[in-house]
Amino acid sequence: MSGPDISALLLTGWLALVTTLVLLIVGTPLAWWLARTSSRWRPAIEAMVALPLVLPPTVLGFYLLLLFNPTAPIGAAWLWLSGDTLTFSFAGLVVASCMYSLPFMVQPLTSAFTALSRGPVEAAASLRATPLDTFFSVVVPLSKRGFLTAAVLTFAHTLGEFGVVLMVGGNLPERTRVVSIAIYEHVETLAYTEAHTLSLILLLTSFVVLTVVYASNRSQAVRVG
Amino acid sequence: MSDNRLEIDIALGRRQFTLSVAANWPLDGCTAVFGPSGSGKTTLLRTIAGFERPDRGRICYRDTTWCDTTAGTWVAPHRRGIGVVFQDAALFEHLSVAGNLEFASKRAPPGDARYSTDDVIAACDITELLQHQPATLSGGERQRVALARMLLSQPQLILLDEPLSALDRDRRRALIRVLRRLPRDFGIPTILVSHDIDEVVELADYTLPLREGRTDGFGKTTDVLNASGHDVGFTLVDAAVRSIDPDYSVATVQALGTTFTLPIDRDTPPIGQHRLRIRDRDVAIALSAPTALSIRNHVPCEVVSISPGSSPALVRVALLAENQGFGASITRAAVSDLQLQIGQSVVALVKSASIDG
Repeated sequence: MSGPDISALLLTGWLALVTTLVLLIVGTPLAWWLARTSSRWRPAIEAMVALPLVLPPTVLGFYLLLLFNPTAPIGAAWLWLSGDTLTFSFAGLVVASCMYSLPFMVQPLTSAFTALSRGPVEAAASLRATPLDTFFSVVVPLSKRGFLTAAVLTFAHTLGEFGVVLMVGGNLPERTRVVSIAIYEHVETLAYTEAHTLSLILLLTSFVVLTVVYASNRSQAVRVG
Repeated sequence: MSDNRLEIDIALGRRQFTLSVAANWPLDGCTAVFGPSGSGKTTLLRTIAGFERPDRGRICYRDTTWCDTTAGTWVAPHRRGIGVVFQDAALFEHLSVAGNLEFASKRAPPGDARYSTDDVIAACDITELLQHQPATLSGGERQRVALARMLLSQPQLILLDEPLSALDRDRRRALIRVLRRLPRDFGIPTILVSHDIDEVVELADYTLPLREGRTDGFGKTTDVLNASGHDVGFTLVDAAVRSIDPDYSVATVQALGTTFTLPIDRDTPPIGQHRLRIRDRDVAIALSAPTALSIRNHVPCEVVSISPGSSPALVRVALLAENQGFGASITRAAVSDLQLQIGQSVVALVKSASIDG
């Protein structure tokens, strides 16, 4: 395998990892709010979270490209803060991936939190645990399957991202060229052997990761029952 | 103990009913909130705990205002120092029994422990269960663990939400034995929510009847149940156990101005104040004290009223002895044979009575 391909693989893994961590931090409170709120804004927020599931990635990528542009407020602010543009940069890819993979984090977490009965949460409150304490010592351990599913789906989904990355990040080696784009380029240049190698790696990685999740969910279900 | 006052004046609308309760109770020992299902008793308990917000009103316990909608005061549940035992125990399934207990003791306020972890484990009889996972426990065991966990948080007010409803007969008896000792052993006022009159009779010193979201008098359990017109088929009478005769398995009990000799069925009651539950159908009426009769308990009393009974053949005769009312369920035919009249002096023959609480 060539040097650029290896760096594309590493970049992809790193992007998926960072995106998963950022979404764990951002998506968890959002999912908790969605699971508990009776606010009239909930349907609108839920729809916003689910949008990336139905929109063509190019649409999302197009809007993000406009937002990230150094002449737009967000792009300009980022440029002023970090000295780098959001477009065609790794930071921009992370933000775009987070938007794109948001439903894969939030939806499994929301259903895990909704499935949690109010009993243990109220019991913890009656035992003097603060809401934050209750969340980390009761809600998280009782929802750990939801967390595992959400994190793995987010990770695997980010691995395979193409359209948004192409729109926002372009194809800069070692900066924004991820595996899916490298494969596309290999196919364009009729370098099928390289395309095969990278495709197979992506296929196997995704398969193994998903198998691990389903296996662990299953063994837990057996142990509980 | 009269400083343990709970002051409630709340209104709260739900789809099925409106809860509207105003009360100022001296919480001493165990107080039952008693009513049929759907009467709002669990909602009342959850509002006291802080799991529900009333639409308007205030709740004060001791010197602290927990909720006042006019002043905008709200104390979150975890700051109220309440101990709750839920209907389904609500154990933390991801922790062992010992882990559940530790969750509570770790968060108890430091320094003012009135009893030790060992006291609680012994009282709830869960020594054998400490290493188990909650999923492996029976219903009764789960409730005992929940009880122990609640006690270890050193609460200042205990709320029990139908803790016995999921249990079979034997486990109920075992848990009732534990619950009955709670106020005495741990000195924490307790509110019990229940639809089961037996539970109330056995556990509660005071009772607040609740019907369709409204309170319906508050007082000593004996007085409330006797006065409520609930056709319960029995009367509670204050009684004092004077002595126990182990040879014959009988207790000598002072009540209704006479001395009763009563068989001991399950547990030997300690000497001292108790309540006697006298079923209407265990009381017969004689015009004068009979001799040579196997029924040993004779109570001189007066007929207060005669009203229709639980079947067309039966009437309930209300009787009064030493200012304490009780009843006899006898046939209409017997009433006319004896020519019973209101105000007449008769002798009530009490075949049996059980010693409660």
